[in-house]
Amino acid sequence: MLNKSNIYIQEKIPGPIAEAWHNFRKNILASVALIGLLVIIFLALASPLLVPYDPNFQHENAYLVQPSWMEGGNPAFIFGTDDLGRDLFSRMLMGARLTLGSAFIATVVSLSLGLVLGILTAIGPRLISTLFLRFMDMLLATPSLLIAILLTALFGATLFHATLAVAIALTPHFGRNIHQLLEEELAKPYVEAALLDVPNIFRNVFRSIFPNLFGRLAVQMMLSFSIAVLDIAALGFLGLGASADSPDWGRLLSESLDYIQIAPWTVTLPGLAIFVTVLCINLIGQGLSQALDPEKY
Amino acid sequence: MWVVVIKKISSAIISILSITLVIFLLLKTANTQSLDAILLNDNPLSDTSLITQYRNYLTNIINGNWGYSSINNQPILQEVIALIPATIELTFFATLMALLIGLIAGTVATIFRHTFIDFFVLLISFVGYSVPIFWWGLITMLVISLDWGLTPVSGRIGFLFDIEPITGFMLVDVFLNDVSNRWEAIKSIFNHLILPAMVLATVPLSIIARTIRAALIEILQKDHILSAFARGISGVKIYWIHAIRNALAQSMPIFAMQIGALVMGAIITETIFSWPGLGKWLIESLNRGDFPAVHGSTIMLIFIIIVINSLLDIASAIINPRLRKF
Amino acid sequence: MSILHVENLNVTLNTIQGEFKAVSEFSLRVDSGEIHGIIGESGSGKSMMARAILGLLPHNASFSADYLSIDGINLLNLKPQKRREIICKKMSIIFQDSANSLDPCFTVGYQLDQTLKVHEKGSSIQRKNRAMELLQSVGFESPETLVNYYPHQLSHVIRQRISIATTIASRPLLLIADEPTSGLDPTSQSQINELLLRLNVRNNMSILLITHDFAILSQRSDSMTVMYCGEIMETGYSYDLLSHPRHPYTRALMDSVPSHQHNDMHRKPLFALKGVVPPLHYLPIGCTLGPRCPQANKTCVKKPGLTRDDNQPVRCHFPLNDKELS
Repeated sequence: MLNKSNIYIQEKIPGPIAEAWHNFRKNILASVALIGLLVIIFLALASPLLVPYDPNFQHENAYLVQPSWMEGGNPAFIFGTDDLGRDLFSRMLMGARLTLGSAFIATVVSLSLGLVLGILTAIGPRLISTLFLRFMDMLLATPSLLIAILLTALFGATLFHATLAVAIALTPHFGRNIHQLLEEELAKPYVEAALLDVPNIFRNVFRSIFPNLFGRLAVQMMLSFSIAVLDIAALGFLGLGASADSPDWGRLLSESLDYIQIAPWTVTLPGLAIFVTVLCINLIGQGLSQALDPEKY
Repeated sequence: MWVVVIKKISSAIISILSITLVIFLLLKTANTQSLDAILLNDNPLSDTSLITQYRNYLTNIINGNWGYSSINNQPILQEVIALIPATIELTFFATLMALLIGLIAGTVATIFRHTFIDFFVLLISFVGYSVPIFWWGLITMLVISLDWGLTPVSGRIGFLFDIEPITGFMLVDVFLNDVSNRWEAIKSIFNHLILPAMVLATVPLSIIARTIRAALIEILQKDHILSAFARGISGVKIYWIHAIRNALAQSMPIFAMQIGALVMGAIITETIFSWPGLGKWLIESLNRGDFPAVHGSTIMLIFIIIVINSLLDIASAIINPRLRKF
Repeated sequence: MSILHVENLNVTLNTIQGEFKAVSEFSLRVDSGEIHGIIGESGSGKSMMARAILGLLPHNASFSADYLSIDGINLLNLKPQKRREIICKKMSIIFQDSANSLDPCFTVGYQLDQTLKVHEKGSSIQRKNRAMELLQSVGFESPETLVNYYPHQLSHVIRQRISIATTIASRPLLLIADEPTSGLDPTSQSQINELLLRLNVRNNMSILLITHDFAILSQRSDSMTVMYCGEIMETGYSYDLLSHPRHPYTRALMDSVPSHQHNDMHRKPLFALKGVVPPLHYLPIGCTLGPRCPQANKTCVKKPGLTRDDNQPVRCHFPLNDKELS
């Protein structure tokens, strides 16, 4: 790394992305979490190829079989079976798609809406800006569950409505954050300089401001993704999300609620899956913000 | 100061107005039948303009005419008011717990920064922040209530005690009623309360601990803290008067954002622990298809969130003089 | 006698880039009533040195010294609590942007009173009178209303003056001023400088003035020390140092000050050293000034020591001779 032939050593400064990656890799916990999340995402994406059984097939004489590592477990059913003899591992793999997929969609939708609202409120006319900011403040206080309850009561319970509710609830988080970040950046002199170069504020927002915000947006996105996973699962648990024939993790957990004492694994394992996934996402988010701003920690 | 109070109250009113407008529009797009069921008892809305309809809707809401349950024909507002104290009691204790433990854990982590204690607090708060609350509730219930038998599984008080609900707050009612074994009753109430409150407190607690720690670390590096130290003011005073107040002022917006999460958590916790509050009733009504009940309790919960948010805004203006307008 | 006596002070910083010395082999004597200037570019370890003396180092820094005494009291033998007491009693510091040295959450009066409580024995009325006195001494003619304001309601310069008032509340023997005028417009700069000078004359308070501005020092200080990369380059009485600089760096600093007193050639190019201050974790081998020094040669790869033979010690293999000066 250092040029030893030169008697006076020069400091070599890596680029921001290289530096962030370097810092991130030094964070063992975050690196492990990143690998963990990648494995989970791979399992979710490849689930149709990986499932040992049809998740809705009811194995006769195999009701409430314990997980394979417990006494009385059957190695054929890694995570055991539920009260109808369905393989829990297969059901969890298929559930991963629904939970993570809808959480991802909710995050992306809210990010796009948040971008629009954030940019609009930061550089738009004052009246529109105030109006949307007030609107976002109002939404910010409303939990996704209440929105989902309203949607469900009015239009019926589907995973789509749950995803929509979560997306609506997350939008002001993005919108507010982007608005604030943009306001901060717009006050900086480099934006003024860029405006002299290209006197179009809208183009400058994308051309010169956003590259400076990517890191912080990525952190916010990880945070929102973890909230989305938790909320989607909570809505599924309360019966406001996925339907019974294709359950997500939350729904899976609530289905076995009656057997919690005789078959605790049917409740524990799906919950553990949610917990581990969210923990991984949060650890990555934390590692990311630490890597971007190492002085603060 | 009063300017802030008036401003916050007026903005709360605007929020309530706009929320009711959004809900009204949602009701209109969905199906008028459900709207009729709640609010068209004596107002023939169908052939009037949208604005008049909204005005009638609003008048009904303000007058407390929230419709009747489609299951047992009880007036909704009465039911809601009867159920809300249970929810408030649970949420209040959870908040108290979260604030106390969260603030102490956050400050302790800052004092012992870069040590094992700090790492431990951070790790626990990470876990607490990532845990799905319904699963966490079920696991604690499974272990603490069912396996160890330390606390009851559900409800607010043991069967042996007969307490007439006067205010609806068990801990108040127990003193208003003439109960023979009062201390036993209080013990029973706390026994029932402790587990749901703990479960509900987990997420806000983690967030409070982390936020306070981050804010304190930032504040403690500021010039005014250093200069107070250099002026000879004692460390305890700097910590507990200057640093904590500044950190609280800085963290208030993040705390305020937890109110919504707290209400959501309360609904889930009540459902799991069969806590006879508004949240459990709301989910039950939803499953029963009792739309007026769902509408009423949702509106009530949103109103409560808005009111508490305004109170928090006023509180942050008290803590942080920069937010006051003179 | 000397108020402050530092012998061989080292400050080690421990950062993510590794461990390195921010201040090395620093020695200093400040006499009673003297104004001693410390000059150096930003990043030369001036502030770290001041913080080390005051015990205000950040958590990732540590210091060691052979001898450190204030007013004849050796601080190194004392317990931390006692050491801090003496430091706070005998010394005060004005930070770089002293307007930020006031806690934004408390009124000016409260903070002033809090400091007085530590150092003065007396009733609240006595303290109040003393506070008024202090505010008057920093140039406020009617300070009665001032005490009820919060810092954010006051202008930058007023805050700066108030913060100076709080720092001198303990009647310190030595005031460390860490770039007290940086970022101010020239009028305010000279006001603050005059204020410091007045305090020096009236209260016989020694001042350790840290700055990167040669012009301020050359007129006001009795003696000065030139620092570069955490090391003393040259030190001595201001008059000697200014008339006969022995270190090339001192000379370069003097030459880089635009002068209007001498009849300089019109549009003569200003002198400036080539290159930049090296980062502390990539210090050059040998003389730290080596790569930038106009008269460096092979010998400069060896580290020069501070000469101790006369009253103008210098760290250079080839000190400038008087006859070289024009």
